[in-house]
Amino acid sequence: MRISRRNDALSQFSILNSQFPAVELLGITKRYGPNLALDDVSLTITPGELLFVLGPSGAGKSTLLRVIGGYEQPDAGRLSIDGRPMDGVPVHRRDVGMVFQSYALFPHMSVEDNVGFGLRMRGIDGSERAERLRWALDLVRLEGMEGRFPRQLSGGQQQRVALARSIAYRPALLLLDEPFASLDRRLRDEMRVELRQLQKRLGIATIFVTHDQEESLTMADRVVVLHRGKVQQVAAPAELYNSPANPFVASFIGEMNVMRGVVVVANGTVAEARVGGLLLRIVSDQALDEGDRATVCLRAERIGLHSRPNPPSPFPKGKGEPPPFPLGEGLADRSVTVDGHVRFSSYLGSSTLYLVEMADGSVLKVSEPNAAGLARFAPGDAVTLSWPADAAMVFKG
Amino acid sequence: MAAASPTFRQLGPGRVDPRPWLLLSPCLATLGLFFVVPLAWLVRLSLYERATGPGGFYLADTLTVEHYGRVLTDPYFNRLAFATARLGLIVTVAAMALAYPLAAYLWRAGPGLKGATLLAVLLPKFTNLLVAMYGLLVLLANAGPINLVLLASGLIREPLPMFANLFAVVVGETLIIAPYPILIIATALHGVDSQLVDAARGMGAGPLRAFFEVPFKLTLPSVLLAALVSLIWALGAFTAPVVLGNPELYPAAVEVYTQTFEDVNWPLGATLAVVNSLFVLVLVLAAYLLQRRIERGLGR
Repeated sequence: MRISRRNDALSQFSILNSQFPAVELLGITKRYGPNLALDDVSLTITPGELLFVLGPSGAGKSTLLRVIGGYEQPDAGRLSIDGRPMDGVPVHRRDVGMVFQSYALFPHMSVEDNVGFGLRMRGIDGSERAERLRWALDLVRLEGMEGRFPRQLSGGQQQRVALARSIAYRPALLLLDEPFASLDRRLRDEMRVELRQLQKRLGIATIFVTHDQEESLTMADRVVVLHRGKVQQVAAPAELYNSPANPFVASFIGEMNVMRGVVVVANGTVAEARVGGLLLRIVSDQALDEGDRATVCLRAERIGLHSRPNPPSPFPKGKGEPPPFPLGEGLADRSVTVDGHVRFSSYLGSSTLYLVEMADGSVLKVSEPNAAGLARFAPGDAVTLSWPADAAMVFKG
Repeated sequence: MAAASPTFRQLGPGRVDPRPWLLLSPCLATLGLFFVVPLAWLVRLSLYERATGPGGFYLADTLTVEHYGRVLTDPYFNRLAFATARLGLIVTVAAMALAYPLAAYLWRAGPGLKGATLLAVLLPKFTNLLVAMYGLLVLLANAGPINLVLLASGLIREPLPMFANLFAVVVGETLIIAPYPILIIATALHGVDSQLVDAARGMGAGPLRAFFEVPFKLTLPSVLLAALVSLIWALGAFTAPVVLGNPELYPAAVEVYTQTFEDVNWPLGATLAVVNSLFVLVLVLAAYLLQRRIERGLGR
């Protein structure tokens, strides 16, 4: 992706050298009637950071953005931008750029007037206005489109205008509310790369709200996972993926099998747990005790599939108990194997997602790369599942 | 036209789909029979000579433009034109001053308040026009409730003259007309995404500036339309001037009635009506051209 180079403009972003956090939230709480939209949210965003706010719909993501932008007043808590407390500071004095999901381009203004709006509101005109306009349009590669009106632009171009418009007056902070939600997949992938590069070049602190976990993993410096108004975890993408703080975070990101069980035998952090009708070996990072309730989270791609002769299934569906498991015997063995049958397969090109039913009737999602470009198994095939015991993440309770 | 919306079939050259004409015919027939034909007759009527003796309203088989000469040059009719235009302009300004703020309120009101307010806007229209005007007369009279309260409170020593004058006529006519611009502007604002205001605010516009730059400018064509509708109605004012005004304030419509039915001068009444209609037609054309200019400016 090409982005034109005008590095001279970079130095004009004074926030690069700011000694304050770009944004600081302390105990921000917002209620709508009986509903807590934001529940004691505290966050610090460092200058130049690209922070993602990730969560399902209704998690409070947009409310958080609207509180920071000044469109909503929090019921409790403190907010400062670039070290400046925002109590009583109205929207138009916050020096924040915002890109709306619908873009909210002014239909009666040309591209030039849309992008120049913030400059006009600040009384910037003449050659400076012209220069900044050119700079902003150049950044998003919209040179030559100045005279067009929003309805004459494609979705991607409208998106660029919205972006150019929000950075033309060089705000201290950029807020993006699901900006790529209405773009088609290919364009979205392009814009992700482009926005990420642009944001790093400008060094502008940016908060990007999305419900798309893939988007947050590929673009973010750090991700805030929000659920029911509460911060679940703040972490870099890899940490979020590999060390989720709780079952919600674990299951929200990636294809995850979430199983609930009870510890039957424990030896420090290694244990056997009864999960449904199965006994599974688990490894936790906390000491486990007999009788502890445990939530076991196992990623679909961590499970290996092996073929198994079909007819003599040891566990005919819905009949009989699983064979007696030698209790405690295999605690030293750090791998788990379970037999099952493929019930459903979903071909995804580079990989296949299987639903595998085990003897006790429970179903695990298994994802396998298509080495030869084709799925290895079909519904009905008998398979053995295996995974290293420490591949499953265990949460007490 | 969007591809999804059904339109009438094209049947090819020489073949006409009868359905659109079937749908249009009741209105076309009514308009032709009861508007176009009488209008043509009105124009012809204005070109007859006046009947002098009893037993006729005009002299058949005559053709003259003397009534037009009189309407355009007689100082009496010049004063009439002035009174009509003055009333029209004042009422239009008053109606628009009521309409825009109320429409802006409706734009942002919750569904409950919106419904109640719309009902209040339409309520005067549920009342018989004459009843409403006589009600106003009672309200504004020297011994009416407003004057009584003001006198009792000691704010005034003598009743305020609030009827049989321009004030009363403007109040009455505005009451009749205001619902139309309110509904026109409210409908236009309804189509403006409130997120556009958020966007303008975010880029540094204060609340008033943001409203002016976006929703107001976007609704300018409708503001023009609302003003035009108000003006045309006000130029045809009849009931309010008769009930609440005095003969010096009577506008053209009242004079048409007087000439036709009291002075039994049908050709002169018809001439006044034709001149009044032509004036309105010119206004509509001018407004149309202005609207096209605004819409071009808005990039539509």
